[in-house]
Amino acid sequence: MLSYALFTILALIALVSALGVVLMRNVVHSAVLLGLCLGMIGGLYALLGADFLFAAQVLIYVGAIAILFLFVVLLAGRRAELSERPFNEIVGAGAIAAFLAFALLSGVILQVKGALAALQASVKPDFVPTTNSIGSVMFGPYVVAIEVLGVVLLVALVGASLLAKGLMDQENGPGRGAGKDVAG
Amino acid sequence: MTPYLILSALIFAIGIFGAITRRNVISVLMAVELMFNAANLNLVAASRILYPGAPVGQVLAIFSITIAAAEAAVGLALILAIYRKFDTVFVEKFNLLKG
Repeated sequence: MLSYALFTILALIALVSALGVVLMRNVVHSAVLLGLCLGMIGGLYALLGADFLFAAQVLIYVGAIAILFLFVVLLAGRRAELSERPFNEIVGAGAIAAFLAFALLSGVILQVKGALAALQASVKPDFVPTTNSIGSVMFGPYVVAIEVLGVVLLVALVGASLLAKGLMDQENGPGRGAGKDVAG
Repeated sequence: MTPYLILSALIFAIGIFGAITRRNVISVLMAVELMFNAANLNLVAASRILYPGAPVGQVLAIFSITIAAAEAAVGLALILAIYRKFDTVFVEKFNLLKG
C-alpha cells in the first residue's frame, strides 16, 4: 500500500513536470523541470527494485544531462527569444500525433493487461540488490555490446568536442559566427 | 504493473508533442530525452514481470541510458555549432539544405 501511494506521488510529479518541460515558454524553466522529471523517473526505478539503475539515473541524467542542458541554454539563445512564441504552426497536428501515439500504446497495454496480471501473481515482492546480477549479465552474454558502447562513447566524446570547438568550420570557410575566433 | 506502462506511454506522448511543436531546438532535444526515459521505464517495468530475478531489462535500460548520454552530448554540441552559424535557436531558421 505504501508503494502504491509512493507510485502515485512520483508519477504525478513526473507527469506534471514533463508537461512543464514541453509547455513552458522559458527554456531555463524547461531544463530545470526536465531534471525534476528525470529524478522522479529514477524514484520509480527504485520503486521497481532497480537500485543500480536508480543510482545511474541520478548520476547520468539528473547530474550530467540536465546540467548539460542548462549550460547549453545559457550559451545558446538570447533574451529576446524568450518572449517569442514557443510553438510552431502545427500545434494541432502535434497534439493529434501525441494522442494517436498514446492511444496506440495504451491499446497494446490493455490488450496484454490480463497476461501481465497473471504473470505478476508469481512475482515475489521481496527486494534483492541487483548490482551483482547486472554485472554478471553485462560482462557475460552482453560483453561485446559493452565494448561497442565504450567505442561509441569515445567517438561521441571526440565528435562533440570537435563540433563544439568549431573546428569543422575551417574546411567550409569561416562561418558567420565565432568560427574564426574560437577555432585555433 | 499496468500503471507504469500507462505512465510511460503518457510521457512518451508528451515527448512526441514537444518534439513536433516546439520551435526552440533545445526544447526539441529535451522532448527527445523525455521519450528516451519513457522507453527506459517501460523496459524496467516489463522486465520485472517477464524476467523476475534476472535484470535483463535493466541491462538494456543501462545501454539505452549510455546511448542517450552520447546523443545528448553530440546533439548539444551540434546545437552550439549551428547557433554560431545561424545566430538563432529556432528550428525553422535552420534552412541550409532548403532548395
